[in-house]
Amino acid sequence: MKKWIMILCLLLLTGCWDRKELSEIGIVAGMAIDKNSETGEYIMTSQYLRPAAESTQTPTPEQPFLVVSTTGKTIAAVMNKANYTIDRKSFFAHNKVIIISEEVARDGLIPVIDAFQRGKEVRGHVWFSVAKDIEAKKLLQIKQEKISRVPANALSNLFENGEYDATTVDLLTYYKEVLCAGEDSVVGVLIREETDIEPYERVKLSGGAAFKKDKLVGFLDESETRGYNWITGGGASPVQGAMTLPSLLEKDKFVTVLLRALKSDIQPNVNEDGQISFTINVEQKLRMTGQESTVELQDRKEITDYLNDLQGEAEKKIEAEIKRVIDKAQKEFQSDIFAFGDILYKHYPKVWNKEKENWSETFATVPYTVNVRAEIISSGLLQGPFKPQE
Amino acid sequence: MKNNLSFSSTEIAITIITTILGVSLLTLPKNLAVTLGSSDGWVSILISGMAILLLATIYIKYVQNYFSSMSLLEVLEQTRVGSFFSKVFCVFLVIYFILLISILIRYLGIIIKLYLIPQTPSEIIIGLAVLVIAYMASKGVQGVVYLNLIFFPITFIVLFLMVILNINNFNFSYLQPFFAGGIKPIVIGIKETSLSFLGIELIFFLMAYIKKDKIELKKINLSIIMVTFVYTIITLFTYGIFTVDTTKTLLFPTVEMAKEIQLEVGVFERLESFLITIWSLTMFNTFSVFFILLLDVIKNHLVKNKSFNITPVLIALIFWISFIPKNVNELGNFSNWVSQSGGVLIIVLFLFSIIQTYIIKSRQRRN
Repeated sequence: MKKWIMILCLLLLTGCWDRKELSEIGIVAGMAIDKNSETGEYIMTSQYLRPAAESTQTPTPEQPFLVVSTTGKTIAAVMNKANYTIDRKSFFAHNKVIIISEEVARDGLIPVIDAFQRGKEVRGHVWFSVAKDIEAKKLLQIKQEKISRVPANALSNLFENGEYDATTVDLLTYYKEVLCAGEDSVVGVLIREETDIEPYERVKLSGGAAFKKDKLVGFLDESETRGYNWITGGGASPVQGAMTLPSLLEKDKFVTVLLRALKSDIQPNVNEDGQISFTINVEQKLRMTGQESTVELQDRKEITDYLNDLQGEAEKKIEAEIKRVIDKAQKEFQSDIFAFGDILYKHYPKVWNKEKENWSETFATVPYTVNVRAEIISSGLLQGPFKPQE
Repeated sequence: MKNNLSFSSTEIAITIITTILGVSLLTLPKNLAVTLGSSDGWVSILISGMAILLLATIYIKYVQNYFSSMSLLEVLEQTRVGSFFSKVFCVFLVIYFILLISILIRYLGIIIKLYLIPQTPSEIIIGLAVLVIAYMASKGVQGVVYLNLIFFPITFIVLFLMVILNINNFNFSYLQPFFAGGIKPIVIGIKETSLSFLGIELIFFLMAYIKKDKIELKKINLSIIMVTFVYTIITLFTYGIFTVDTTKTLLFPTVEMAKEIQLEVGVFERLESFLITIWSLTMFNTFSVFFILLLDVIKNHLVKNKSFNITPVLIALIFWISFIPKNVNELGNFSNWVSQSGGVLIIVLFLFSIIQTYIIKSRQRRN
């Protein structure tokens, strides 16, 4: 009797009720969300992987991906609807990028991220971006300059390598920033660029999209994004990039410095009258990588003085870009993308409780000071400028 | 009382840890974030942990030391008035345990369905769980306690891993500002955190299995401190990873935390299915302890007729009750209600045991 029960248990209690066969799921690598401006319906475009084409032994001649568009009233509905047209069940856990069209972003993103966060499949570590001046779905299809065969992988690598003139934000960070009081978010922007060599077009990660609550309010250009990255310390990835400064020795010659370690913090101050102001301290370490000038410097002291002047030049440039972006955020967007409010809350919770009701108005006029310290820590493997000889 | 079975203090201490860690492990950070609105919840956890520590110490020092090898109900049965109260408490305890097991098992069903096996019907998951627990409990206290010992290290290794691997995602500034709202929200939070120590009532029953000379208060206290520590760390980490505002919106923040784990290479990520599996083990421990207490109360105090087998009735009852709440929200309300009444019941039991001990002690002194 016991034996029979055991055999029955073996047969009945082991289950493949929830199996997901690899050959039955369609792995989504990238997603783009647009809106049909006439009907107001969402258009979701997903890029599915086609594993057979990536086979190392006998690859099929097709493209290694398949792009499918579906329309529906809500994002959650569209995510399910994809199953009507494609022969595999959509599987979103390996999704790498989500691109939102400008129109959807202007209408508010809460309905979109709600669908992602409520379901368990889409992960927090998905790159999140806005398409500027182009439909989001087009970005999944255009021929980019890429080595990776799957466009979504190439896009994801753009974000991984993003430098200081672009912002990179993942879904989880965006979600946190939207829900957090006293902080608005800046999201990465993808644009289409025309080129004059094959394949004549490419995708570029450039600048940032500023949000107020969950609605897009405007774009930051590359210089403003640099200012933003200097203030916030770079977000998901450390700030990297090359900055060009005028070489002070000769006209129309330039010095290039690489950005190294960056330290930045924002200090809130509240004086006796209750006047709020902010101090932004930025400390940027630089490394010289290029010097075009050919003027020879005489001795060590002259080199040191020269480097000090260059540092001053870099400080001026950084400060100008920081001021530019704060100006834009205050005057144009009235959106607290630097999380000033959140920092005020952390240091002066009582003041914040009074201010939080109409923070965006207060923010628009709040005074600030910027202290920049740039330091050239090394001049590369060479010391002074070269001098060509006859 | 119980056929010469005895445990060491360490064994009971570990059983306390695995019993207390249950659903609260997954929901406490969220509930605290909602009630407090700030990151100060960890203070509430520490305070209520200390309160529980005090309760356990007083009970063991004052009551258990005097009536060694007796459970709380047996202590009450020493006098005639106490005997009457003991019967009343038995009825309440039986109701409380049945409701609690039903709620916990429904939570297990919901979470397993949500994260692991979405297409398997809840009836199957819950039905299987009830059957296995009943089988487990039928083997007696010994089996349950030893099972706790086996699962304990596995649980701790996974929790430890989850915290260590999440250090990258941890952002200290999300925890600031400290004590922004003052003392009041922290005091309100204590109610929430105290209820997450439910399960501590097992000392009223299981301490009886430790021989008098083997009772080591230090070990029991250490177990309560460890639970407090785990709750504090998990809460702080959820806030440090998600911010307090985001934690409010997550249904099971601890699971989401496991989901965020990602090592550079991407070989090791999404620990949530792992966490859920291990968490099911601790839930299983929790159930089995409650079930054994339930059987103990019924068999040794309510129905003294040995030939009467109550287990099938209990299985049916638990299965039925666990499906009364329709969704997580209703379940949450239901469980709030039950755990609050449970908390009151535990405090009343504790006070009665103190009074009873005082009366008996003073009576003996007079003689």
